Amino acid sequence: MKALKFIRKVVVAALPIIAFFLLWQLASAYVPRGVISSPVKIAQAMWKELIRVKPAMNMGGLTLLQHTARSLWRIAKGFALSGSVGIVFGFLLGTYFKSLEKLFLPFFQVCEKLNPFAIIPVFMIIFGIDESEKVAIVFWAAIWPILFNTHAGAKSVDPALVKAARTMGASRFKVFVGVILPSTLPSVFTGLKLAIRVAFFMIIAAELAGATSGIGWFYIQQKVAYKLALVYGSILLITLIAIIFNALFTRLEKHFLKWKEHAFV
Amino acid sequence: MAKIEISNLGRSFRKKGSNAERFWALQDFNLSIEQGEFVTVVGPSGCGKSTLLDLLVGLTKPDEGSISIDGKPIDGPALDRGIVLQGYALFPWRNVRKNIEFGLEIKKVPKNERKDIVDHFIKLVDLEGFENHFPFELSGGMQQRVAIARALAYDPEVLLMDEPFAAVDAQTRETMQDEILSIWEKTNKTVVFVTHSIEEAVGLADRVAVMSKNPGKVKEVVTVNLPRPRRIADVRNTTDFSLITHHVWELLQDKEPAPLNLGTNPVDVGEAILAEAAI
Repeated sequence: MKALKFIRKVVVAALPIIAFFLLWQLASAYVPRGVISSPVKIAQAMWKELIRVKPAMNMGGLTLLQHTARSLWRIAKGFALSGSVGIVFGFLLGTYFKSLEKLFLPFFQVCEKLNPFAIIPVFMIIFGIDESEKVAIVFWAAIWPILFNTHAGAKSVDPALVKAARTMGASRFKVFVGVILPSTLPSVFTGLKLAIRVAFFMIIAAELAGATSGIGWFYIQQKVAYKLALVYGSILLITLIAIIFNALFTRLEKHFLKWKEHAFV
Repeated sequence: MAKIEISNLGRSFRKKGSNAERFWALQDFNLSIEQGEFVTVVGPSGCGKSTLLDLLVGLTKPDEGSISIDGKPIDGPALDRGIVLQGYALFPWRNVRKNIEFGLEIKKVPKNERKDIVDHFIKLVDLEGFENHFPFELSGGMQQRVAIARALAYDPEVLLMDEPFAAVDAQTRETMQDEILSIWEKTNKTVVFVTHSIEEAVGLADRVAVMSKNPGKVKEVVTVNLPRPRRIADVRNTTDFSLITHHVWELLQDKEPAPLNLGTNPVDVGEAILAEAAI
């Protein structure tokens, strides 16, 4: 019964997506050549690229899979960095360093408002066009949602729970690990989920702006070579990967936050 | 020696917008509580009941006087006192078992011993079968029972309760009152129970400390000589209960009540109260 319900839910959710691709397939026959590619052609071209062992010409000596891996590795490094720094700062400003909060938070809020796309060239000048620049861009854009959400979560810990723990003689460490940390976890997850989206936006933008590898660069090369199927294909691939990561985080969230009332009903 | 000795206790707070002026939440507060006694504290809102509990817990320090347990001044929170707070304050990410375990973790009780202790208290508060439920899956009354079990689990000598039944419905409230009485009879803890309900204060207590406010102090300690073991429903309609309740009510109304003459006056309570009201 439960499995049946699930299948029904999946089918209903998939219908518009299937319809979209069907319409696309139909439309591609009528739109003038060279504007859009058809889903079937895209799938064929992408499949050829994905199973390719030797790199194609003008692809920087890397296959599509290798380019994708490069991008993911940059995201991983930038995201890990923004995650650790953002969470630590969020907790510090939200709990034990109230005076620093007044000093730094407005500044951070201004930093967040800077258009991250606009500062890509600045980062290129500072770091050069290479790995560290990409990681720095991802870090810069992804840290804010993590920091602000962690900070807000740490500040809104129910004082009654802290009091309850303290009345039982809990040490400061125990109060932090036993009360503040688990209370803040939902907000941390909200921040991480926002950040992973931002990280995907930024890595593509950074690779479009200047790179010699990565899925964003792959995309640009296909555009230059006017291989329409692969241009559309890379957009779809990027989207697919982002969706997979989002689902992964939602799974993680569900696992850690099963105590949250009606959160996932 | 009394279990809890509070003498000339004073606690003040800075008034808003003024450095010199201080607001005295408690002043000249005197109360001594014997081992195993059930004392309720009743008073108007803002009379310093919560401040008194914070001092008993050790979350704040007195500005004047002293407050001691077994002759030792209270110096911060410790596991010799258990507290049940207003609104339960259960940890939502811990299931019933883990909530009750919290104090045991602080007390550094080994894991294998914890299980037996928790099982015992789950049985005591009648929550068998709910060990693995999270707080949001429980009714208000059940959450309250978890909070009580959590406070009892690490075996404190004194149980402090801050209006614990204020948030539950009337029926549950009465059940919980009987349950706390039966737990108290079984465990022989010293209980300090703060409430704003006169009936609750009289129904539960050996003695009721009636407070006045501005500054908060004990106006009178009323002895409740109702029979033990006691069930609220059994005593609620007795003459003595009504007389004591009325007496406490008069104290809270800032009237000067006549001294209590329990058991000696066969006059119907209703008539007595009516006669008084007529004056």
